[in-house]
Amino acid sequence: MVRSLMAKDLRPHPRTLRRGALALVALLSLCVARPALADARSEARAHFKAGMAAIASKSYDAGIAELEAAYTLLPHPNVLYNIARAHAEAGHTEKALEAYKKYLEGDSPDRDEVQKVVAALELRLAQEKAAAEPPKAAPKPEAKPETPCPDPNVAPPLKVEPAKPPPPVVPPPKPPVEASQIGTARTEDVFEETVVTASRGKQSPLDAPNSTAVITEQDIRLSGITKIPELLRRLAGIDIMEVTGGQTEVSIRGFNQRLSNKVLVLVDGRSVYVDLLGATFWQALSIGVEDIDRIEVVRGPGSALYGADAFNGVINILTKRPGQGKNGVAGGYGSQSTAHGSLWASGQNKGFGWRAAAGYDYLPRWSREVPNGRADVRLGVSDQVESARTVRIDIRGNQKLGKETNIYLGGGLVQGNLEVLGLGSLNDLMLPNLVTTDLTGGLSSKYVELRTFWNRFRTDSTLNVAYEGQSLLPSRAEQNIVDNEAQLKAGFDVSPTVHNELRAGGSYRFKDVNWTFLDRRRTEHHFGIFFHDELALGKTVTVVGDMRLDYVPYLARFVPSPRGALLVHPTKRSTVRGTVATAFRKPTFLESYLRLPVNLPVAGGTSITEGVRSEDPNFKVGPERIFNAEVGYRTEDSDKLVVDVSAYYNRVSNLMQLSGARPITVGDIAAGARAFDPQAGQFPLLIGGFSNQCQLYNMVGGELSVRTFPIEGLDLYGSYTLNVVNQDESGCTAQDRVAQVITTDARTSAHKLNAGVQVRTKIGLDGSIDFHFVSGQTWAEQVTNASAQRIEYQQFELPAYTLLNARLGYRFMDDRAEVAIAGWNLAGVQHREHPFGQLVDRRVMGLVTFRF
Amino acid sequence: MIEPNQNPESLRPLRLGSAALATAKALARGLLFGGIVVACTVPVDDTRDDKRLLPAQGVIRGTVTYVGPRPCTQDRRVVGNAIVFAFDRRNPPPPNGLATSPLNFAVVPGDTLFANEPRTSNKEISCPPTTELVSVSSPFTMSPLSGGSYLLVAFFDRGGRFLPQFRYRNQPEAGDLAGGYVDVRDAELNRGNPSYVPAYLPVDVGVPGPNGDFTIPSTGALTDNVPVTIGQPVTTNRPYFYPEGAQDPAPVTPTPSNPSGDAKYVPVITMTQDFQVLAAPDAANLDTLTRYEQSFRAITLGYGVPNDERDEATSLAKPFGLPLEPLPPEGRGGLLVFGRGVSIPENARVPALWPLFSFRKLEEDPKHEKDPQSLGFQGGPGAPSVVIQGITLLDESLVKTVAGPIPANPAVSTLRGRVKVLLRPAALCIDSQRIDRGGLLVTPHLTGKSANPAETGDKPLVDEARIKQTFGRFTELRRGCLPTGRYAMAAVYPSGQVWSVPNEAGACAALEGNLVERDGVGSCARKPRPILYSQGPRAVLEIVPPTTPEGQKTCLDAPVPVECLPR
Repeated sequence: MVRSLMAKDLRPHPRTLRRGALALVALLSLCVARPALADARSEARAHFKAGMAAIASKSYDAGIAELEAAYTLLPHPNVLYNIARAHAEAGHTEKALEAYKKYLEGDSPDRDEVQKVVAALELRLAQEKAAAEPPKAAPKPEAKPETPCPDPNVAPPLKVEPAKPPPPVVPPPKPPVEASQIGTARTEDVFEETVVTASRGKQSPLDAPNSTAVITEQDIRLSGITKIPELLRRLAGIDIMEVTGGQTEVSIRGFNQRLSNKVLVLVDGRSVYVDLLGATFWQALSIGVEDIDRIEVVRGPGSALYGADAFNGVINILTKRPGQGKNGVAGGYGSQSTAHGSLWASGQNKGFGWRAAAGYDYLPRWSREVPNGRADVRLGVSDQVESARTVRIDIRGNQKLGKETNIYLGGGLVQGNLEVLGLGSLNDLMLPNLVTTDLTGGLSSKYVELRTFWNRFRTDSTLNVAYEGQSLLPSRAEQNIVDNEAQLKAGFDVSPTVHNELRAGGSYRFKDVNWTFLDRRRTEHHFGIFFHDELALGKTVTVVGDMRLDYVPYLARFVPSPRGALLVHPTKRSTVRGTVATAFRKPTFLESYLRLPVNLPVAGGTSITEGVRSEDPNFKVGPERIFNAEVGYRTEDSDKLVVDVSAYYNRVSNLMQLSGARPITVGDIAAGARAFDPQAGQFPLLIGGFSNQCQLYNMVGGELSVRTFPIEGLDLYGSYTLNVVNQDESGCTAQDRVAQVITTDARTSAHKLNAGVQVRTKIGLDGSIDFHFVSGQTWAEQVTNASAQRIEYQQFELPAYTLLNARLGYRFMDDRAEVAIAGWNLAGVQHREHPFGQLVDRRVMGLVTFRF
Repeated sequence: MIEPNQNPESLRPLRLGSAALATAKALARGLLFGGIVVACTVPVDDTRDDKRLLPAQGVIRGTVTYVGPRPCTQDRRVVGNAIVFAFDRRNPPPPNGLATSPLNFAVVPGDTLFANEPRTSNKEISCPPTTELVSVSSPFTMSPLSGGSYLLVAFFDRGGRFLPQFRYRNQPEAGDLAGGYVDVRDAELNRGNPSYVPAYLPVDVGVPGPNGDFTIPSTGALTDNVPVTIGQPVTTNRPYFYPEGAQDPAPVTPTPSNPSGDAKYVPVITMTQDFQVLAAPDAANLDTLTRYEQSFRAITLGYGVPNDERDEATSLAKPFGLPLEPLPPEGRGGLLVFGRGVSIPENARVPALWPLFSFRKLEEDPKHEKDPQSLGFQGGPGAPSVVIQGITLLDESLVKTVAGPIPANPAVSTLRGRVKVLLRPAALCIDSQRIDRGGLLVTPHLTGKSANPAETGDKPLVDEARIKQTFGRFTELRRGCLPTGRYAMAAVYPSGQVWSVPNEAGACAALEGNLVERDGVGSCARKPRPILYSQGPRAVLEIVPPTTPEGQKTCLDAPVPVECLPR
């Protein structure tokens, strides 16, 4: 009994343990954490502005302190330069030299000029040192008489007035610092958010003719998300669907779908659109979240700048520049063995910068559709658990040629397996042996941009499951794209108050696709010319005009895409924007040239889905069209608040769809249609393909985004999206209705709400919470009605759902190391994000990062 | 982990009002506990009903064994394939049922079945002597199938003519070999019986229930090792026919099923709903039998197609390639008319003959938009099949039919160029999905005057007991007018070979465009090809409303039973 009590007493109480652990964490935090809040652009910007103001008023110490705070938060070479310059101006020559030299360690564009400054300052420092040295011949001062220690028992002697010391040696006054000696201050707002996607050039979001949004490196790091498209969920107007574990589909302002094809995704301006299917395979990108500097999103049609397929928006993933950042390694492991690994290295040697990254991702299915033990089906290559498993490598280099000229070269490679939910009969498709490759090179200068890249996409494919006796539709696909683009840039003043920015260029895109499911190997040559002009009438009004002409070989004609915008700046940091634009999506190779025998619910029969109609070879599926008119307002008047609001009207027409199955007729047989396919051992019974919808969609919607930074280390954001769709069937004939059984499609949520908070503490603890609400949707999906032997629209209700994501992290070792735990859908709200999608549930990952 | 019986409440999204509390709870649960427990299994999603999934279904797997002559070959390929049809046991194909198409079918390609067969590289077809027999076998799989009991009917398409989607090319012809999953012993016992209909054995798929239904378990159902045998030579071509007059231009004559009077849809024969025939005479003589015959509506059916359509119909270069041999003595063409071994139910002295002719109601389509070729039978879910049977006469005469002699077996001597068929004013209304349950036989008059004037008073027109004995599948005989509408015609041989009109040869499908005349021959505007008018939408019987006050009163007193009308 006594022993037991003693043992009990000796055991630490759980609460004691918890307290101890907390105390240990706090102690460790104080010991090893540095007072940094990591990358916080807005806060750095506030410090920078305060610092520059103080320096301008000659309060150098205070100003330098603010600049140093900004630099700590988010290092930027211009801040370092200004710190150096302020030290020089204040007469802190040694510190100035130290800062200038540190500045020169980076990839500074003005290396020669700064080296001259350094030389001048070194000379000056030498002079100062020389001036400060005492003269060699100075007489020694007389020795002071020794003063005995005072004896407390002895009365102090009479106070004798000491002799006056000689006057101090005053150094000669420093000569005034000339601006020419230390360079001019860089007062531009280096931390101001910029976008490059909305106008094919660097500009403030306040000057962008479209509604734009940016995902920052901080957003990425604090989210704990390892899937790139999932990062976009926080933005207003963005539709995200987790369809399978490895397939996330993204659309903007509606019309999301399996293999979403209405958003153009760029990586550093390079299109990663898979023309074969008209889709973006996010898991097949050769970059990981750690390699991303920021993601820019342009809402609204983008064909005026980027041509076909920038239908309802453009997403541009901007990776870290070669030479930028440190080396590092990151890894994560979590629910259902979800795994993420990444490592990267970067270097800068004078004008040459390089960056190499590699990674591995394993994503299990959210749920599996085929249980073990099914007697009636045969399975493909999948283990029914894996959804995506990829390894990637990405190497880029950049060589500076002069002040504003760069050439760059790089490439990426991804290899792995992927599961996707495709259209029609290609649902639950496995892509084993998927390989994507890119090789990109180009030249960037003040007036000219040249870029060429080769994208290769190669994969095998097979259905995940089919009934016994039916085909798993095995195929092999290879797509090679060579894209070349040249752009001229010019900016000039028309008058003292009128400035013009002009960009014009042309593109050529070669496409070669060899796919089992196409009628034959297909090659296309696409051309495009574009023109962009911004006319700034004073500082208040800017007029933007764009026009692009794209030649689409399949359609054998040019398709125009105009855009016009008027921007008014009521204040220096706010904008009222009005834009009118159009865009189109061309038929993909799938929609143009498919020839695929599709399983029917009869073993001996098949349906031939074909793009080129055997009975009407001149039939063409028309391009999808969108007309957009929108107004927007954005304000950054307050350093602590950014508000962006948009309202738009979209008219969407000609959407492509699976055409109604056409029975093979006697006339087809008379014309020589193949009556029996000896390879498949099946009789073609129906002919399918693609056509354009007769339905139009009139959409009215808007987005409201607010981001605020009330105190240092705290970011809050919220956004609301409204989307009201009216389906106009006035153009549909009775035959259309019989052929397709048209139903109302309201796949886009009427309401979406995002909100979140990010906290960064000086003790190294970081946290973020994100909340997402998506209202219910009614999907009209085309499915095969076996009894009626036709493809028809059927409605599927998708209930509203919420997501609660969070991450808790801790930085230590001077921010070089970081551990975190991140959870997605922490409330465990089981839901689907597409009616046919997998059942999404909670997932948690532990994450470790080390930078060196 | 998702459980199959999980409470659906848990699938509901979080309410906004409870977001704060939920946030705290979720964070605690998710980050502190969820992060520690790393589940490694992916749950099975069986809560989805999106028609995209492959729901559990049935599969029949077995082996096709072929015993017969070596196949023809052409261009390094075997000509023809083995076809295995699956019919619902409750609704077999003719002559025992109404099924016009199988529920599923599988194909064993000839190249697979005869994998080791030498084949010619010539472009011309090469057929070895039919005396050289081989025995080969190959596996087959048929899916997806609903739970049920099936009959497997098979044949080897030796001529390579089979086209499953067209009625005019979807059945075996002379020279093919037939079979199925049959009672081999029963077939042996009936060897030589020309009216023998093979006894197909049931193939059950799924778990049998108490009502004779079958359900598919969640893991699917596989019925394995089903032996299908093909080896019975098909000796006759299908009973190709056309109704005389169907090929001729018709005056504009509006009818309820053709209110516009479109000449292409004017029925070749009509009969009123209340049509009354005389009762069979007690004394059969030339006069009474002639009177009795004349009291029926009758139609004359010619063999094959009219002469002016023959070239288009038989040309192998054209889409039809119908095997229409000339009539004897030049060839062996014609309709085989021979005895069924029983008499007609109305009169024991009148023998029943092959081919069996029947008339089946088509779906209503007065504008001819949905089904311009008049191919769709009424009989889907919620709509009964309605069938009128005819009486086949020998040599176009009831007298000769009664006088005989009636050929017992098909032979060259039984080939006829024309056949007269009497239309019974009686319709069987039946659920085509469950003909085993029987249907309602409706006739506008149960009694009538005798065809023999010497007999006075009304006599029963039908003998219910006798009808049940010879013409089963009905549970009730009821007085009522016949359902109005257009009725397609079909001729059936005991082998199950059927020819029906209208068929695809006679009109353009919607996708083929409108009918146009090109060089005096009908064609289709969008997809040119010949039209055989004799096989077109005029080749129907239309039941029309009464034309007399007495007839109208009859139909008021005895309207069409609801069991005969689409719901």
